[in-house]
Parts: sequence; C-alpha cells; structure tokens
Amino acid sequence: MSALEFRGVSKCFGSFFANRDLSFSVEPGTIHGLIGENGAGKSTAMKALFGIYPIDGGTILIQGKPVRNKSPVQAMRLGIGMVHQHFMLAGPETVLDNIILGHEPGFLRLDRERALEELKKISETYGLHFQKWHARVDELSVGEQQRVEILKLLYQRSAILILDEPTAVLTPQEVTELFENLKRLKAEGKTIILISHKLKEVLTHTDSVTVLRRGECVGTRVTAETNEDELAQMMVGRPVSFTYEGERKVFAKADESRAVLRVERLTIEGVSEPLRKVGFDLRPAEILGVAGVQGNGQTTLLRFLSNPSRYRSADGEYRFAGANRMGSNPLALRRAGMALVPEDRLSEGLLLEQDLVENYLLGQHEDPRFVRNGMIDRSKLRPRVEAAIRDFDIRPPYTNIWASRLSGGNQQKLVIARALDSNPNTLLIAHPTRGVDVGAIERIHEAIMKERNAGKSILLFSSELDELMDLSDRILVFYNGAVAAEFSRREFDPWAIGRVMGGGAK
Amino acid sequence: MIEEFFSNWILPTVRVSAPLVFAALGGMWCERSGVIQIGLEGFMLVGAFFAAVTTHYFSNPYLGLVAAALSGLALSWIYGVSVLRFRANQIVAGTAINLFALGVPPFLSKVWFDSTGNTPPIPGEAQFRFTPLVLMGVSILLSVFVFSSTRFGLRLRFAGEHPEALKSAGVSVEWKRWQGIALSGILAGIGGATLSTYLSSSFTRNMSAGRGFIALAAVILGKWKPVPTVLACLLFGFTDQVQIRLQGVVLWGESPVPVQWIQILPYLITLLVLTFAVGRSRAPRRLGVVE
Repeated sequence: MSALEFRGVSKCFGSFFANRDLSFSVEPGTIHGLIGENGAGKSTAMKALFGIYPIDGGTILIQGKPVRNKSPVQAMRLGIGMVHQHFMLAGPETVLDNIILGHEPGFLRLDRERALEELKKISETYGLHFQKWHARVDELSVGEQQRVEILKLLYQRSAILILDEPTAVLTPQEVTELFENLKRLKAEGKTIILISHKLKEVLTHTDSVTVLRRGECVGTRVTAETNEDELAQMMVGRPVSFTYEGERKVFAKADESRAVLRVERLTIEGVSEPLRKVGFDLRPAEILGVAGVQGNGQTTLLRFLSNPSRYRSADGEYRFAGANRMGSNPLALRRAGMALVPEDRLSEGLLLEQDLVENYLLGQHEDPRFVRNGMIDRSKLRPRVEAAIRDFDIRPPYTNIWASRLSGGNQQKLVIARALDSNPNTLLIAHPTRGVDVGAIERIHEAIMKERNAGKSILLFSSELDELMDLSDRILVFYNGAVAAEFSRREFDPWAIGRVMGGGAK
Repeated sequence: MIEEFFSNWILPTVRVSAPLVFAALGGMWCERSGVIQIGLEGFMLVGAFFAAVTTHYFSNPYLGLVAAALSGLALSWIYGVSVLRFRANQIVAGTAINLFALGVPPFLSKVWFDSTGNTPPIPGEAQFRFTPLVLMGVSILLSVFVFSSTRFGLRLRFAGEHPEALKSAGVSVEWKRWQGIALSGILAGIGGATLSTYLSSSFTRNMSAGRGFIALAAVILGKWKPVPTVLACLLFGFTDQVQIRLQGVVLWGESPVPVQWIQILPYLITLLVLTFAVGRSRAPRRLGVVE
C-alpha cells in the first residue's frame, strides 16, 4: 500500500491548469523526489495535499484511504508535515516554544518539561543530536534551524515529511548532514518527499523520482534506473545539453597589446575579501573565466571593476577603453562601453516591486535613446522590453508585471537582456545561471557565446566550474586574494583547476 | 523615615502610574498580537468618562470600573472591525479612534448634564481608596504568567512574530489579534477609570492628556515585555510625581519655576528616553502587517 497516492488530481486557476491529471504514488519508507522546473506545479500539488487549495478533480489517498483535506491542520492530523523553504520559526522565541506551538502539553500552564522529555527521546531515536532546546532560534545556524523544523514535524508525529528545496539555503557540509539525517528517518520508517530542481542531489539521495512539467506528470522512475540526461529531458521536454556545444569562432591570435581592460598590481586592503597584486588583461573576442572558492577575492574584484570609486584605498592600475579608471564611477564606465550582470540579481539587479519596464530602465536612465531633456520616454522603452521578452523567451511575457512575478531564471534573463541592450563592448557577468532552470541555462550560455563571437570581451565569474570550462577561453584561478594560476583552454582540467582553487600548485 | 519615604514617594508614584500600567499592559498584548495600538488614548478617555458617569449614578465605583472596561471593549471592537475585518491602515484607524473618543464625552455630558466637558463629581464615599492598586498588582502578575507560561501567551506572541507559523500549526491568527485588541480595550478602559474615580473624583475634558501615548511609549521602552513595560510606566509615573511636587517650589532665585515648565517634564523625559535610551528595541516582526 502506498503511503501517498495522487490519482488524476487536477487543479485549475481560471482556465489555467496548475495541475492536470496528476497521478503518482509514493511507497512508505522511501525518499521520493519530486522535480520539475519553476512553475511546473510542484508546490501547487503539495498545497493541494495540505488542503491549502481545494482540488478540482481526482483523488488523493493517504495510506490507501481517500482524503479531502480542507486545512493544513487536517493534513497534519493525517500525519503529513512540511518543511517550507522559508522556515516557519520565530527568531526571538526559543527552539522549544517554536516546536510545541499548536501542540502544547499542559493544562493552563504550559508543561515545557514534558515536551522537552519527549523531544529528547525523539531526537535520540532518530539520531538527530540536538541540544540547544532553550536557545533563541535566531542564534542558530540555518542548518540547525532546518533540523528544528524536522524535529517539529517529528514531534507532531508526521509520518510523511515533505521538504521543499531543503538544500537551497545550506552549505555543502550542512547538505551532507541533512541527507544523513534523512536516511536515518527513512530507516525508522518515515516517508520523505524531496522537492528539488537539483538533478544531482535527487539522483544521489532518492529511491524514486516523479517529474512534473507544465502541471502534468511526465513520469515516475526508479532513481537507480535513470540518469541526469533522461530526467533533464523529462523536465524540459527536449534533450538538454549540460555543455555548450554551439559554435566557438576562432579568431586570429589576439594581440595582447589590444587589451580592452587591463588590471595591474591591484591591491585592496581593509575589506572582507582583500586583493593582493592582481593583474590580468581582458582581450577582444574572449571569455575570461574567474574561478575560485567563494571568498577568495572575486567579489571584491567584480565590485571594484564595476565601481572603482567605492575603493578609495585601492592601489595599482586599472585601464579600460584606453583610459585610467582608478576612482571612476559606474556611469563613466558604462559610457565607455561596459555592462554588468551583478552577483545577486535580487539585491543588486532588480527592483522586485516595479514592473519590467522600470527594471529595464535601471542603469540606462541617461541613455539618449530613452531619455530626452531629463524626461523618460516610455514609448521608446517599451518596444525594447518587448523585444527582450521575445528574444529571451521571458515568461510570463508581459511588460507591466512586477519583477517579483518572474521566476529566478526569467529574472536572470531580464538582467542579461538589459546588460546587452546598450550594445556594450565589455561585459562583466557574475553567476549567470545561479538558481536558474536547466532549460534557461542553455539559452543564457548561447547568449553569452554569441556576444563573444561578435567580438566582445567578457569577464565571467562563476562558482560552477563546468560552466567556466564550457564557455571560457582562459580561466584565472583566485586564491587568497591573488591570481594563483591561469589556464588556457588546452589546459582545462577540473582536477588541476580544483587543486589550485584549494591552494595547491598548478 | 522609611515610612515617610514610602508615603511621600513610593505610594504617590505607584498611584499616578496606575493608569499607565493598565493601558500599557493592554497595549503590549495588542501589539504582541501584531496590531499597532495608538488608540489607547481613546480607550482611556471613554473609560474615564463612563466610569465617572456610572459611579455618579450608582455611587458604586466597581460598577464604574465595569462600565469603563465595557466601553473600552466596545471602542476596541470598532477598531478591530476596521483594521482586521476591513484592513484599514492601523495608524489612521487608531487616530480616528482617538479623535472619535475625544468628541464622545463632551457630547454625552451635554445631553446628560448640560455641560460640555465635566461630569458632576462622584460622592466622596464612592471614590476608590486602594482597590485599583490591588487590581493593578493582579493584572501585572497575571500578565507576566499568561505571557510566558500559557498556551494563550505563546500563541499570541507568534501571531505578531510569525503568523504563518501559527497558521500552519492550525491556530487562527485573526482570532488571536481580536483577543489582543479586546485586551487593550478592556485594560486601557480600566486605566481610564482610575483617572476619574481614583486619582480624581470626576471626569474632566480630555483628562487622559496624552497618557495613552505615554503608555505606548512605555510599551516600546519596555521592549514589548511585561515586566520592563511596567517598570517603564513607573519611571514615567515617577517623573509625573516629581512634576506635581515641583509645582510652586522655589528652586533658585526668588520666584518659583513657572508651572508650565514643570509640566513639560513627563513629556520631555518620554521624548528623551525614547530617543536615546531605547536603542535596539525590536518590535514584533509583523507588527502592523495584515496579510
């Protein structure tokens, strides 16, 4: 008997099917992956299960019995619990109070001692090793907070645990720990549903996988019998290549003296990620990759290059487009032909509560194409946004919606389209595919390569070594604030680069 | 010596603090549930008025107290309807409550006593002696206990701090907020009653004189926690007390300090304390946000 079964479940909003005829089942005592791109209907399905949305057709069965959940409380009574992406924990309250909320033992006076005793037993049974019961939640690390969420579900006696993108917020060590804990829960008979869009994670840690696409169930596979390519194809609906296989134009050997951007002996002290005597050239028609474990100076370099005026104490030389740029402001660099795709699109790239047109204007507010005598001409701007939406297949394809309505991948496409709009000759691009769906990754890589093939210079920062090796002509590896080694395309080798990233020699 | 200190300083301080303590505890409950409460002033005012009127008619201050609590509750219900049911802006709705409460007593006393402002004095034997202080003590102890050691307190705190967590635990956030608002109405109404039937013997126009706002300042200074909030009330009560005692006193030179200058003291201290001493007082995370 399945722990959970969806039988032809549908849910629509107006004429739009968020879930259409969804059928899959989850065996008890297993870890089941639920994957799909953003907007594929994963969370709608889970909300239907929780009774947050009433379903419009089909049946949900729990332990073989059909249920009609009308509220999360009912789902909870049926033994279903969920760890949300944004934790349901109040920071200033204690761990204990957060856990017992809604299920407080004791009459009149809270019986915290009894709850504590029970929790200690639970944490021992499942090997969760938790001790900070009386600490405030905001004093815990994110990984610990997640463990508190899991303990909360166990305290509520949930038999089916749903985890929504649990690794998105964790460090690699915390991820390992999480999956060890989940295996222990599984061994004790709990059923776990893992919502994710990270294929590797799903392949390593689940027993079976269900793939959703555009609200429909594409299929369920036993994890051991499938692979990354198959799952990706199921998710996107067409074969996906994880490596860029398009054209890479070969140019005559670049003349080193023609560098468009040159940094020499750049030293920046007194910041959290200092730089020490960094020097490199960026030449026309090349992608120069910047690799390194986060925190080794890449962030400072990117910030300095895009806004040198922020670093008064910087020492060394920075030339761009034939002029000294020490102390320049971003506008001057932009006028000289530089464009930026920032590290964090949410905090540095977009105004979430503004429409796409306003967002498209960001940074182009002095461009004579859009601005006359200090007045913004929206009628000139809108067709450009519409063109960007078409070229990059941004969805939903409306100019008048808030940027927050777009999924991460679509937000990133908008940021990249905006960076390319002014036809810059040099691009600083950071983490272009972070948090982006597999389908959109391809398109973004194509766009970057197209710019290179058109003769532009691109400095590409990424934490994905695969991405850097696919796209770059050369890779600089940063270690401890300095360029530790440079690799040319012939020399690319993940092990060699990884060794330098970790402080070793080339 | 100790006795003299007690009767000259401690008792008067506690006496003038009583209205603040009641109102501030009410404000704390309300704000902890996630609803901004600047309407304390209005609740106190109607509480003071109805306590005085009821006590005048029935010569029974306990009935006055009940009338005050009920009138505060009624006014808070109007506030609840506008901010919870109709999601009005809480600052605007609270201001409206205060303005409304400012107009009710003069209107009714014109109708009932043909006087726009003051009510007839209540009989001397019907004036409270020390009951409000006992009630205050009970309120403080109950608040502390309920706040940290009961299911109600825990859930109400979550309503203001993380309503989604409360909701996913199967508890109605809106109901907790209704309860928070009702508590503020009842307690601030009782606070108003102590003004007209304990600290004086009739209602006078606008007799709360900003105490509702000072009580709110005490909530903030007390970081939305019961004991510090009460201590903050005592601080403000003390300055009020000093203010009363300094009136007509010759501090230096030949003539006394003008009374108007002395009367500034409580307000000035409120302002200074809020500006400089509060520092990192952190409001409930979802205070004023209705989703």
